[in-house]
Amino acid sequence: MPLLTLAVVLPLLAAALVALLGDRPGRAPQAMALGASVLSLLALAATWVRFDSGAGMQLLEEATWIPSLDIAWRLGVDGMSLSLSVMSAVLFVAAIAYGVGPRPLGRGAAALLLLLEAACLAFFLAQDFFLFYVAFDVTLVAMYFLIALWGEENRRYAAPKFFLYTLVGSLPVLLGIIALFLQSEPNTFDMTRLVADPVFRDAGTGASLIFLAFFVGFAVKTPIVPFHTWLPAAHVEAPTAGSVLLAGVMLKLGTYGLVRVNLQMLGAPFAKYALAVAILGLVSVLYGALVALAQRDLKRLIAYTSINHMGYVVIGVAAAAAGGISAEARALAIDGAVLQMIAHGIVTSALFFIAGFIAHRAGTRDLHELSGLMRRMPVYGGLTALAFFASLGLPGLAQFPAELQIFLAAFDVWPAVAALAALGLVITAGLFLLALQRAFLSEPAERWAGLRDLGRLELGVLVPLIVLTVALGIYPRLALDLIDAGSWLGVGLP
Amino acid sequence: MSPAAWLWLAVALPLVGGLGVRLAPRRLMAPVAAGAAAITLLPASALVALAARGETAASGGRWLGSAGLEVGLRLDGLSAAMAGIVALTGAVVVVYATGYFEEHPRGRSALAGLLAFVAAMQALVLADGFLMLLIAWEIVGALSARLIAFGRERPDAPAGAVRAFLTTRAADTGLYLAVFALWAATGSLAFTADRPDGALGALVASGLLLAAIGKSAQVPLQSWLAGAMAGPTPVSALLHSATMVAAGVYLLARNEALLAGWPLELAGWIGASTAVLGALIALGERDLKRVLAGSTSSQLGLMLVGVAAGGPAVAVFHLAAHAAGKATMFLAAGAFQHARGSTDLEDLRGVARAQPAAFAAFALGAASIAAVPPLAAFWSKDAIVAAAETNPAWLVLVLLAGAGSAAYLLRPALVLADRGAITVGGSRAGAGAERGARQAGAGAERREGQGADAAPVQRRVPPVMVGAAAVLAGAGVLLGALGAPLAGLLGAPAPETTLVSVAGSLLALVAGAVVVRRPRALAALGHAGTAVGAGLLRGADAAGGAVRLGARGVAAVDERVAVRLPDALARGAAALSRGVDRADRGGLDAAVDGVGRGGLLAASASDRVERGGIDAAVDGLARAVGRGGRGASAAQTGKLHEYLRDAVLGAAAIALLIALTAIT
Repeated sequence: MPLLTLAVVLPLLAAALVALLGDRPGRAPQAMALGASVLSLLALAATWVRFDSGAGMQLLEEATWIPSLDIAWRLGVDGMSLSLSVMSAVLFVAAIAYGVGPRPLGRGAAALLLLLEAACLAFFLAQDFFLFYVAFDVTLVAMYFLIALWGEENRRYAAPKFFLYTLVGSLPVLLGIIALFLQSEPNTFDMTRLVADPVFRDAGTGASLIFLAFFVGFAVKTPIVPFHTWLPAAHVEAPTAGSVLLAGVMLKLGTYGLVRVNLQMLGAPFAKYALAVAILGLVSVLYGALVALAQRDLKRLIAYTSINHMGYVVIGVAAAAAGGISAEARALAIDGAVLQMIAHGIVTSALFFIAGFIAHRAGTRDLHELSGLMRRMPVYGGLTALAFFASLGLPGLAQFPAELQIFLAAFDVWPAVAALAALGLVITAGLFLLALQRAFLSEPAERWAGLRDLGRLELGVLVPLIVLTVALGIYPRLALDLIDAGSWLGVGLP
Repeated sequence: MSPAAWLWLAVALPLVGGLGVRLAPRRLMAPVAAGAAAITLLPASALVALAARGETAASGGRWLGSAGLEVGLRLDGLSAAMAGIVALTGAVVVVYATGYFEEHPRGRSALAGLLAFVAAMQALVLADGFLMLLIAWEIVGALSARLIAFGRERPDAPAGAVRAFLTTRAADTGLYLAVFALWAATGSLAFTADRPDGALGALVASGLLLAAIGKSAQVPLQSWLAGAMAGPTPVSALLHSATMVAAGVYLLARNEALLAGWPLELAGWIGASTAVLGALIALGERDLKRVLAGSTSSQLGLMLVGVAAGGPAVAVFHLAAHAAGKATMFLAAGAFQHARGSTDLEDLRGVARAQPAAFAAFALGAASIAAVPPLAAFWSKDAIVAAAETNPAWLVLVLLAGAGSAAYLLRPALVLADRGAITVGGSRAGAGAERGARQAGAGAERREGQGADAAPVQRRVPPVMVGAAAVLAGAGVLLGALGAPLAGLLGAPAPETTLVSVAGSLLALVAGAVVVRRPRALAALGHAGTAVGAGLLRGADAAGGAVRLGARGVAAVDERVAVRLPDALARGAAALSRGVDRADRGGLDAAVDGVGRGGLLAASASDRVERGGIDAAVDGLARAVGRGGRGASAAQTGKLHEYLRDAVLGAAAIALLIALTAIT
């Protein structure tokens, strides 16, 4: 059974069906969306069962599409594709269960969420550059509507800004894809071939320009400072589930691209610019942490910590690209980078749910206004504390093993970069602890006397994410044995 | 059972016990917790017995993808000795806490937290290799913050918890860097006796040192400990006497060989200075628990000197003796606090009459820490004095600290017994506490006259509390004989006692006692201590303040420049495009007049490109950004088509360009 195709097509079909429902669909859109996303997750889980760890890219599904240009429907998985797809599918189930806009989920929102899911999964699974790019852009369209239609007050500013900014970012990616196509011999959009047999063996001008085009595109998406300015606005204005998917899934499009394209296909020019990229990652780490420390709005705070956390991923990828790094250290760096994508996806999604829950109840996310939440909402407070500690990289929770591997590998290459990045650990600890002290451990103010603790639905989406956070923290090999960067990374690298 | 099984049980039993307490019905809280505490003694004793027979063992497995990144536990003399100390103090404190939290509405949560903490601490001292050590080290830090913040009845408890966590976490950067450097140098994170060469080796050593200083509350990072006293008293007794703060000393003892040379020398100096400054700070405090906090810094400083001058056995000997004595005093302080609802010395004046048994335990613990022979800490401190004889400066500082400990413990003892005209001096709740409370900014008023965590005044002190204090006090008496066996366990020669050391120790004791009887000298020393403490606290605050200020600066830049720059660019581009468009139309007319049909065709073609492509894109952008709310979805949808079309057009144009260059 073409499980990968099913994982992509099921949400797409469901989106079409949901759109065809009548005017008063009741609970049907949500039920259908949830069903499709669960089926998609099951298809990926079945893929995991069939997956042969250590065998690299596998389970390819291919169907001719435009033969004259060697464009085809090509899906396949290696450790990175499969682990990110599974993580995404989990987050989509949670986001769809929680919903966007009025409850139950309306037709439009359900269709858009499903479209977004199909696009994101297609992106991670695509082994054809044409499909890769189409998926990349469709995610933008779907997310644009989610923000523009169901976002918060200032959505008319944030939605077009998000769209334009990231669209401008995706254009260089398109150029890069076309350039790679034209440079390949014979011309192909087949990503597996471009990975196995990279077009460029050296870092000439052409290779550098193509590298730069991809890098800028993915840097906007990740985002890497200074390409980050769309992110806070988009996050703050997006509906809760939109923020979850934006941070949890869509930021990984950028770093996935960095690994799949910049590192695997353009390793030679990457080696030349590795230090520069690492320094940009370092700037993101420190800048994101510092700006987050100054935020009063919980959602903005989380948005900026995402810049910090994705900065670690960038450092890890850059370290793997550095010339002279050993194969083991490179695998360590990418193991760490991919695990960080997954851990960040889960933890930050939990955090955005947490911010959404309190905004929904209290009508504010201002950490200076909120107070005494630990006493008023002990379950919420406890889960929040756990998510905060996970996000600041506490051992026993998901992000520690990821960041540790990145640090170990990066320190090997550039001790100064890794040492300075370690300062980010202290700043994030500070900002989360101060937030905890201010809003959660303080004396509850009169006006928060009526806050209810979490309900069934809220627990239903949050608790599984926290459980995953703890599970990955205690036993990171749960994901690492699947990722196993050593088995697929080195195919075409020098 | 195999040694490996005992190792894992030592960590797992308290953890499972903690879970059990959390899930048990409220009325079974005390027996379940006490049972869990007692049963954790079993694996610890088994480990000590195995180690005494000279057995070593290790058990672990791969945790991450790479080889060399294993986690596991190990049995050797040092780890067994530490596990024994942790289990014993842990058990007594947990039993005590069943009384302390008897009427607390969230007592189960507190007891579960204490048991979980014991588990984490066992993992720390039994850790095999730096990876496991780092994991346990950080978890210990986080759990300690949770336990300190547990006493939310006190407005400055959260602030104290946050300060404790952030200070130690900042210092933990050292441990991270040491781990990175060791990995880079050797490709392994196993414990090793060899320091790598060059800069990496220096980084390993200074990183470990920094982490130890932070955790063990050494100068200049000692101020978090006094703030942590806002936590519940059993927490202080467990974390801030015997376990968490002891981790720093353990880290140095574990890596004594790795740190040989200048790093240990430096550790000795830091320890010796903290020993004196901590004593001075303790003299300036007027809250019993904060006196004990200053004392803890001071005593841990002595242990650092012990590692540096005499080796791990000397340090661990004092660690054990201090753990028993100091925990005893904390436990007694909790009993006083239950009776009087405060730990402020002035409020506790004369409490000895109402609580004779608790006071007796307190006096015994204090006498031991003050090095009254023949109590335990006399012997252990004497071993440090003897070891310090090689370095005259350290010897002087250690003896000064000894005199200080006699003075700062005699002073509260006299107040508790209400003997002599000892004035308490200093500001009411200690300068640090007030600042901490202000910084908490929680909007809660500080309750006047409350020293540490304000348990409700119960008047009745559960007997189990006094009993636990008595047990530890008794242990403190017996532990003096532990020096030689402990050294044997660690494979070191028995600690020596010299004539000089005994004479010096006794002299220091007398000097301390004399000072307490001289009010002016005592007040002067107290002022000096307060000033030192406040100065160090200001330093720490300034560092934190600088980071926050920097963060605000960066955030302002981000807000004003980084976020708005693209908006401004978009607006500028829109204005420019309108200008160009106007000029273009003007130029078009001229072209029609001047050039004729061919020119006209070319011009209209370029106009099409201009309008269809670039202009529309920029214009659309400008409209989208500049326009306020118009009809919601319809307008948005309309724009989207434009964006997409523009994008595709633009992309196609550039693609064409590339294609042409590639082909030619």
